[in-house]
Amino acid sequence: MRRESDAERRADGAAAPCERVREALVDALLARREGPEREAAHLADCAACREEGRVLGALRSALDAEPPPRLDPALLARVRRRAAGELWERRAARGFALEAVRAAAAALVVAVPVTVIHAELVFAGLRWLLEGRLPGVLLRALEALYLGSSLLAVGLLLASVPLLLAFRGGGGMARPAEGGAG
Amino acid sequence: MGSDEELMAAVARGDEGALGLLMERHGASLHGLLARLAGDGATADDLFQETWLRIVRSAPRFDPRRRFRPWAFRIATNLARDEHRRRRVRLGEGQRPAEEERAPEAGDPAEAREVRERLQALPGHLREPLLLRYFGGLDEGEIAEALGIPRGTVKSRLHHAVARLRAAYREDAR
Repeated sequence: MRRESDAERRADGAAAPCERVREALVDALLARREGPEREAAHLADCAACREEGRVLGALRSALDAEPPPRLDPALLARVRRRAAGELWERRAARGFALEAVRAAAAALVVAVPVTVIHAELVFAGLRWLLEGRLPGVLLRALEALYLGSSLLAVGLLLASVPLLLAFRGGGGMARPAEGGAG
Repeated sequence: MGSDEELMAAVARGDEGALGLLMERHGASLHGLLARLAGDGATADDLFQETWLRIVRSAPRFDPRRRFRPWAFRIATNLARDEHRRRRVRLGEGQRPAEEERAPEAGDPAEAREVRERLQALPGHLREPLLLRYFGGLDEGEIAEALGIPRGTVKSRLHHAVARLRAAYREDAR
């Protein structure tokens, strides 16, 4: 494998050594590396490639002559405060959603069994009072209607939980001050 | 101190400390790139802020299998490109935005000014990969991710960009 790649390299070199060397010179410039050591022998022999290396070296010096743009620490601090404000809003929204889910789950755990037990007691009373006076079908329809309306009331109550929490406002978290004029 | 991608996952959970670390790691290079892409400091500052706000807003959707750096540089490059386009529309086609014609800063070496002008004169598709590579320190694979182009295209554009700069340099030397 190794021998094959060396052979390939030799073949490349024989085909277009200057082209390959100039490509390596540009790669070195882009990577801010010194000139390609592997090509030192060719550069020593070839005046045109040496000149190319010199021009690229001068170009690199010119590119590096401009001082890097300075990042003002005050700008960094201001941007950080703004970004932190965004994060706070996300946390607040997530906290609100979690609180809503928790409250709804708690209400569900308590409200549904209480409603069903309450409905069972009411049905028992109805049956005791009305059995034999009303047709059985009508009695069962009344029971179903009562249970349905009770569960609907529970559902409406649960749906109002997010609204109640929204009125409480953001789960009690304090929004960080943004400051600055950004 | 985790990887950039771990820090992004923490940012997605609302961790301000993780955001601070990412800003420390990449703030200077992103700002440097934006300053060179925009050509003037005030625009670069605005774009820098917008870049970080976008990073924060997109954090929950960030795919941790992707690399943070090219992703962040892509956001910055796109914002700079949009800003450049808006300015061209405002000024009218054919006119160069004012920041590209700015006077050199006091104490700027003449050579640096010339190279900056030549860089600004490069077409965007050559300037962007060159700035990302030389000043942003991204490798070819990262640039390909950042610009959404194949790696081979990145390589050829980089070589074209250097060839253009070098040709101008030779003309000046004559």
